[in-house]
Order: sequence, then structure tokens, then C-alpha cells
Amino acid sequence: MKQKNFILITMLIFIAAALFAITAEEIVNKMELNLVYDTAIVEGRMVLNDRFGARTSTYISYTEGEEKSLLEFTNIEDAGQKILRLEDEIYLYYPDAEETIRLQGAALRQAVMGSDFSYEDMTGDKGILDSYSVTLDGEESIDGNSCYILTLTAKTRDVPYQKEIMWVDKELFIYRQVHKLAKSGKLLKEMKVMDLIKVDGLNIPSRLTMVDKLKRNSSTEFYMDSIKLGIVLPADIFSIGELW
Amino acid sequence: MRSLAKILPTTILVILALPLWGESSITAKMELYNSIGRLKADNWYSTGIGIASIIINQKDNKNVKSQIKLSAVMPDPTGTDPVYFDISRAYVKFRFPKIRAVIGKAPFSWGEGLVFNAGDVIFGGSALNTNLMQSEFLDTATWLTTLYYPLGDFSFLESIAIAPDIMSDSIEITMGGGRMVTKLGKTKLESGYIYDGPEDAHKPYITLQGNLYLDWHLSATGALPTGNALSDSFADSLVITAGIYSLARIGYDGTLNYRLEAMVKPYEKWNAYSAGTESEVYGIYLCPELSYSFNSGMALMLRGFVSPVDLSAVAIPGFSWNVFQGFNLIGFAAFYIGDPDDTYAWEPETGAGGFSLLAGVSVTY
Repeated sequence: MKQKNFILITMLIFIAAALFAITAEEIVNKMELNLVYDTAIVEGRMVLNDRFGARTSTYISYTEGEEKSLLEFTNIEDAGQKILRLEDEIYLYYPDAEETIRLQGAALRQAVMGSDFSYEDMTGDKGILDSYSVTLDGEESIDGNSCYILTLTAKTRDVPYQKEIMWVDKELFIYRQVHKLAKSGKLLKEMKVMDLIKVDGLNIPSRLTMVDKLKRNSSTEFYMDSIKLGIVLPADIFSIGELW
Repeated sequence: MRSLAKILPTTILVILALPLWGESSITAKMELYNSIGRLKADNWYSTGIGIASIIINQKDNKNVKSQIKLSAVMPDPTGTDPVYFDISRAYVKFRFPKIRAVIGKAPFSWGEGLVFNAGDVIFGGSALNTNLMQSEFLDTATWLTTLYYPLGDFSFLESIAIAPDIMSDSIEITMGGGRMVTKLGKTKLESGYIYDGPEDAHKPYITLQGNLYLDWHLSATGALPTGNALSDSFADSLVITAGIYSLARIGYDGTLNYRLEAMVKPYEKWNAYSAGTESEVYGIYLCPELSYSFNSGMALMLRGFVSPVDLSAVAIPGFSWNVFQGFNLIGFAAFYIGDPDDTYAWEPETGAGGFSLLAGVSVTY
């Protein structure tokens, strides 16, 4: 009788664990929620490293939710250039020519300033689950942080990487490391979170590196030098009137 | 030397005053090239070309933005001096809660289109003369005053007055007008009007821009002379421009961009014929461009002009490479393909043609 009760209890525990086990989609949703803020002002840098040295772009960005952002480049070469995202449109502003270019459709897939991110990535329209199917493939520790291992497989050809493996921190629900792969499984790029900062109770990656595994000495580093959340932004900051 | 005498005192004052300007940034830009070319048999040339600029921008003021840009062009494009000095930009932009203004020598851009843009009713007449052997095509500025009235997040009204290049006792050679920009659904609509004082003509235009699998734009303009018969002059000046643009990501590191623009003048000539020494304008011209960009900062491109009526063209392959911070290697070649009396000729009777090669650097610091 005691043995039967023991077996029954054990089975109930396993069933409960299966019912309440987190799914891969839930992990992705929780992770993406951590990356969306009501309002934010970020000052940062992007450093492109290759065999010829380093090239740095600096910027200041203003965001409101997922749909609106204004990014202004502040480094000398690109000073004054702005990228305004409104819903599913991007406006590029070039102060030297006083010209504003409106991007829609395929043009949104263009890479931003030679980075790995496209303008479409900035629209917030497409989440990970729109472009990838996701499976949970176990757990692993990254730099002493226990992480879920997610495998992302592309649903369409309109993504730069057909496959990604993502390590998501089990406690904080932010990615710690991402491997970006070709369809054949060949490792193309490796992204890693080097530093986190805590702002208003949120853990935010403040330093990322992206290493190109096919090129020697080629990497991109992203730095958030300053971040402010919950700031009241001017009412008309996300309008084409701000492109001046 | 006359151009130097005009600008030198101003330049010296500006440079001496630099240490006093705490809320400003100073940038230097140079584009330096060597060029060789062949106009016709046994007729080769070589030249150095350079543009150097010092740009002083006001900063840290959310409501006032000012810029002074001093430039030197070598050789002098007018051919009178070895160096041509210019104040390329000198303007102030300022804004109040419901209005924004610009005054001074400033750039501005109306309409849509990289090369062919019928909405550019002020500078658009020289589209066929655009030098495609450069990374940026539009660098026009003039003395203007504009007022900008926002109507919403995507809409605005803008009025403009453009003073003549030289002081005149006739106010009639001033230009003035305005435009409205708004959206109809997902399509951008821009319509405007300029009174062209020097030509004594009214120039309305309309521009549409949208996306239907490809990004597209369409513009039209025509000149309506004051006091003269409408039909002849409007027909002669009617210009329609259109363009399509798209891109595709290639692999994980590359982007292929393709663009095609067209300029149509319906009442110009649609049959090719021997023009003698006169240059003729045909009813249609095309400007295609294909470019491949690597995320590493290198881009390869092929662009040009095509004259479908006389089946001539100029093909311009090129590259740009952002090697170091603020430093770019740039190179272009131009090949003219056509008979001597065609729009683009390998051995032109007059004007540019043949083959040319241009290579150099641009640097910003």
C-alpha cells in the first residue's frame, strides 16, 4: 500500500511538472517582454572591429514601447543623421542634403550602419516567433548563469540566419549567448552578453559582442553607456517634424 | 584669385573666432581624387580633383541649429583660378512650438528620386548632367527662407522664398512658393508650386511615393508661363519621373540593392537622328543602379545613364570601402557607349565621352 502511494505520488509530481513546465514559446515571450520599455533614452556605441582596426558609431536613441523610436547618430562622420521608426515605416534623415527617405517593404531588410540588425528589426513588427519556430533543448550554464537552450529554425528565407541557438537566463529571461548558423549548421556568428546593468528593477544587456566566425579578427561590440527608463518624452518627438 | 579675395577675410575671422565658440563642433572633410580619361583617339587627359571643407555646427541647443561650411574646390570649376573658395553653407534653423524656420544658404530637397526627380522644381533641370562618379549626388544649397508648419506626425506645409544669386533692382527674379506633404493611406503625397522669377513661369508639381512589393515613386511637373499661351510651353516643359527600388539580403553578410529611375518628356523627340553639333533632348532616359553591400563597409556598384531612343549609354562601375574610422577608399570608371552623334558617345563630337577612371579617398575628422 505504501509502495502504491509512493508510485502514485511520484507520478502526480511528474504530471504536474509536465503540465507546469515552461515552453520554448513562453521563454521567448518573457524574454521579448524584458526588451520593451514604456519609454527609454539610451546613449550608446557600436564598434566594428576587423583586421584594419576599429570603427565606432555613437548614437542617442529615444523609444516608446515597440512601435516608436528615434535614433540620432552623434559620431563625426554621421553626425545629425537620424532614423525614425513609426509603426511599419522607417524615415532616414540626411542633414547634409536636407533629405528624408521613407522606407517600406523590402528596403526595411537593409542592415543598419553595417551592423547585424536590419531596419525591419527596429520596427518591432516581427517578433522572434513570427520568423522562427522554437524548441527547448535542455539547459546549460553560461558564465555561471543557468540558462535554457533554445533552438530557433527559420520559417521563411527572409531572415539572415536560418538557424539560431539561444541561451536564455532562467532567472532573468534575457539571452546570455546566441549562436547564428547557416542552414547547413555551420556557425556563422556568435553573440554574447558581456555586461548587464540594472535599471528600475530591469536587467538590461549593457555590453554585447558579436564575433564573425568566418572572418579573422572580425567582431562588433555594442555598448549602452547610459540608459534612462520611464522618462517623459516630448509629445512630437516621434514625428517627421523632428527630422531637422 | 578674385574668389579668394572675396572669401579670405571672412575665413580668417571665422578661424580666429573658433576658440571662443564653446557650444560648437568642428569637422573637416576632404575628398581627393586622381582622374585619367580618354575623350577621343589620341586625346587623353589627367587631373587631380579635390574638395576640402571645414564645417562648424552649433550644438547642444534643441531649438536652434546653425552651420557654417567653408569649402575649397581644386581645380576651380570656373577655370579662372587654381582653387575655388566658397561658403557652401551658412544658415540658421530655429523652431517655436508650432512653426520652424530656416534662413541662410542652406540645402533643401523636394520631391522623390535619387537622380530623376520632377518634384525638384528648383534644381531639377540638370538631372542628365548629374555626376554619377561620386558617393552623394545632391549637394545643392541656395540662399533661402523657409517656414514649416506641422499638420500632424506625417504632414506639414512649407513655404519658401529664394533670393537671386546677385542683387538686382528687380524683385521679379526672386523665386517663391510652397508645398504640402501628407499621406493617403500608405502612399505619400507631396504637391507644391514655385514661381520661377528668372524664367517668369509658374511650376506646379506632384509626387507620389509608396510600396507595392517594390518601393516606387512618381512625379510630374510642367512650367506655366505667365501671360503666354498655356499649351505650347507647358507641353515643352512637361516632365514625368518615376522610379522603383528594392533590395535582397544575400547570405548573412550582403545586401543587393537595385534601383531604376526614368525621366520622360512626352513632347520631346522619340526618334534618333543625326544632330550635328547640337545636343538633342529625347523623350526618355533611364538611370539604373545595381549595388552590392558587404556588412564590412565595402560596396560595389554599377550605375549609369541609358538613352533608349538612340541606344547609347554610359556605364559607371565603382566601389567604396570604409577601411578606417572616417576614411574611405573610392573608385569609379566611366565607359561611354554610342556613336559620335549619340547622347553618350565613345568618340563624342563635343563634350564628355570615351573612358575615364577616378580613384581616391574621402576622409572626415
